[in-house]
Amino acid sequence: MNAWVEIGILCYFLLLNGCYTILVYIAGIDILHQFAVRRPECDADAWQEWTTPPVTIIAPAYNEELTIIPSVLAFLGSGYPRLSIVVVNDGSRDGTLDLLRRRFALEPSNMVTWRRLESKPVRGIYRSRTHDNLLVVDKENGGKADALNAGLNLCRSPLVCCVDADTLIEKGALLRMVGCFFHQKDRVIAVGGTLRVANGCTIRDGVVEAVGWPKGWLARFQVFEYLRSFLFGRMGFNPLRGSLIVSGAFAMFDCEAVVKVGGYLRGCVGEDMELIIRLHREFRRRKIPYRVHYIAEPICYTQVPESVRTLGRQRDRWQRGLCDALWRHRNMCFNPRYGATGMIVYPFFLFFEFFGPPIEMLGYLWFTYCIVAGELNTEFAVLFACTAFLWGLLISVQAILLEAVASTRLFERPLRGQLLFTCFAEWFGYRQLSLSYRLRGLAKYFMGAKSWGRMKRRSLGSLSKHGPAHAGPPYFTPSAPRSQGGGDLEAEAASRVSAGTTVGGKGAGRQRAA
Amino acid sequence: MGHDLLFQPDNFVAKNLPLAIFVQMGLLSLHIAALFILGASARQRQKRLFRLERTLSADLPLALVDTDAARAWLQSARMFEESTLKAFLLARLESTGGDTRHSYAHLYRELGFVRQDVDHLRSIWRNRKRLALRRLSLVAGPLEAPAVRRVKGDDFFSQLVTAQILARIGTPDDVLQRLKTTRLSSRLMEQPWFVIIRSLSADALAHVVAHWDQLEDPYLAKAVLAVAARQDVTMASKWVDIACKSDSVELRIAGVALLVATPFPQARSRLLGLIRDEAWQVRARVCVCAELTQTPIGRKGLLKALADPHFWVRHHAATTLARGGGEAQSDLKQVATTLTDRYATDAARETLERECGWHAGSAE
Repeated sequence: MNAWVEIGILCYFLLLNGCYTILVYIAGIDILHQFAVRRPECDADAWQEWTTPPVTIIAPAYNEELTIIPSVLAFLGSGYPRLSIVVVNDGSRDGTLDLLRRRFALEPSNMVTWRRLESKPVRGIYRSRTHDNLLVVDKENGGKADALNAGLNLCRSPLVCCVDADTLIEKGALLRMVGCFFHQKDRVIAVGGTLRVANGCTIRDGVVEAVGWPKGWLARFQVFEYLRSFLFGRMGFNPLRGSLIVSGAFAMFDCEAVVKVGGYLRGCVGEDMELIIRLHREFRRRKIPYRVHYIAEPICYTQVPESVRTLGRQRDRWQRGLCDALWRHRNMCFNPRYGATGMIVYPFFLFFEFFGPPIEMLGYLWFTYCIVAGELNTEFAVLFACTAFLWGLLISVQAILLEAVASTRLFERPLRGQLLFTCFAEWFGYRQLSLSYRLRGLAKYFMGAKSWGRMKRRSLGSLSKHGPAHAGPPYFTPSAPRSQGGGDLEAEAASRVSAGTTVGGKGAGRQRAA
Repeated sequence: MGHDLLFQPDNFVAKNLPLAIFVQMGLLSLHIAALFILGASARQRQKRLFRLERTLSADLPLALVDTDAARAWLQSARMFEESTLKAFLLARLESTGGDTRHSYAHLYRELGFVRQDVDHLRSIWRNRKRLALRRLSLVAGPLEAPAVRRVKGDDFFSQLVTAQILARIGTPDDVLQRLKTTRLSSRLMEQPWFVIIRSLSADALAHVVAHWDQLEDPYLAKAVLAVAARQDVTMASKWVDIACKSDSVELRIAGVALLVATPFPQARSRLLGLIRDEAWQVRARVCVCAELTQTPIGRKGLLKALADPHFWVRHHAATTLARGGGEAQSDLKQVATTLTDRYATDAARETLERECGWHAGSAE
């Protein structure tokens, strides 16, 4: 029995690190390829071309008064020629809507929306007098997925970019992402980009003026986590038609594809991952060549938690989201019908992300048990621990190397020494802390918890100064009913549409019923 | 744990762990060294570029317009390292256009970089080939056309850039051949091809349009006709029938584009026929046509489209009527206040409010 547990742990360790190493090399090749096909000279052309596709940014906001103005300013200054912005106020209880109303001179508009996707009732639509491409939707609280669906109903462009309300977009980021839809052989349905940590950066009017290094250790460790997860955790799957996750903080979609699969699933904690899996599933099922693509360039910045409690809630939610999304699509696992997604990508997430935390914990417990029982061969234990540590360290250093190749922004200041020290230090405490939160998330998932948890936000302008953190009320996702009686005019209109054009709404119903 | 497989000191794994640690330490050192070398080389490159800019930037504006000054500039430029010089010129080539880009391209060529790029097209390394193609898309002249023509479109990106270069320096037939062999998988992929087709000279476009029936990809076929409709619709008028009666939605959309651009009354009546097309995309395109508001029949068609089952058709019909002014707008106001069809009324009201600042309450 003991031998089998040990063999199991050892195989898992080899398999996990082996897969990560493979992903690092694939991502490295992909980054070089992306540099070869990047065409900055085309950016100027795109500004003038009548064929440049319009893009709608949808930013759901719940109690975001501290961050909403800089974020909307960043969206407006993103440098894309044909851009609409839809901010969805998801029943905020703070001054989010008032702030928007004052800053952007909002006035009510009786705009007709095409209710292709279900969402909680919309209380009002406002159009900005100062920026004619800015719309604000005020609706009843229904959660992030619900707010995104309400935004999608207003979307009148072929491309839609779903962002978090505290995300800061780099100038030119949208052009880079739209470029992916042009230059791939297969139809691109979703594009994700590398997210960076905004903590420590100098931000003015929604623009990251200088990339800095966070002062808090917790944020520094997360800089690494973001590097690892974006640069190879996601890009490494590009050759297999893409990862199962495109970060909900910044993702661009083919709007038609999203509507056809029924939009975001309401009442789902990991709505971003669930949507991507559903897109994979539907396109694989219909045998349509497609691609979910990731780009290496840093394109937007987001706040990361700087307190242990907030970090705990966030990781716990991420783990629950992952479990929920994987469980909903469990029949994809090792199902040849879904090609590489079902045979490789899904099992990877299942074994290393879903089952990863308990197996890792089992490893720790087994080691402790062996020490206590006095059955441990000390020499072997030390050697094995060194191997595990060095392998992990090697993967982290490779992530820094990928970052150095993909972008020089983290290296504008002589940070390499600090970066290396941080990736060494995270092994002593932070990894174990993160593991405990993931385990808590897993446990909560099995107990059926669905809330988002409280997120502490700080004003984006204060991120570099380390001012006092402000607590925000919770982003609560009520467990929404599976179907909602439409009843309004557009729902009726949708029912009049021929079957071919309402696949979205009906598909949503089918999906949820399933 | 003496009885276990792995934890015995003499088992295979335990024996090889020191070796694994040794290899990992080596790899780790290599990666850290690479990290520092990368950083140092980036800094060096920056410094060299800064020094080059400081030395050469002052004379550059004159070198772009005067041959003698260009010769002198090239002489002093040759003292710098090749890669820095190339990066310096490429940055300018990427951010300029028109004559200025042409002048930079001349300097780039004189320094022998174009030759190098052409050589790189034969490279076995795919990325090197792609980068060379990218640079050639900025600097290639007719001399490079044969080399570019030989590039096999083994991946979509190369296919696209090759077509782009040939549209500029090749023959019309080169472009036609590229268009014939290209397949697009979504409407979103049209954009760069639109740009290529739009950049063709009038003769080249006429050649492509004349052989339009040879294009198999519906998206590209649509792009060709849409560009022709914008530039000179007469060259494509013979394809109107085929396009409008095609089974492909894309081709019918192209047919609509041609009809919209055709200045004859018959074209309007044919356009109104397509307002009953089975595909909403085609119906919506018809409703975008502003000329329809100028005749009573056209306005009647648009008013009927206000009750179309599809949202976008109603939306475009209402917008076209609102923007048509005069009678079109008053027809729309009538729909907004009196018609019983809720969809039509709603589309009309919203559009009038958005486009003309009109409010239903005040009118009533």
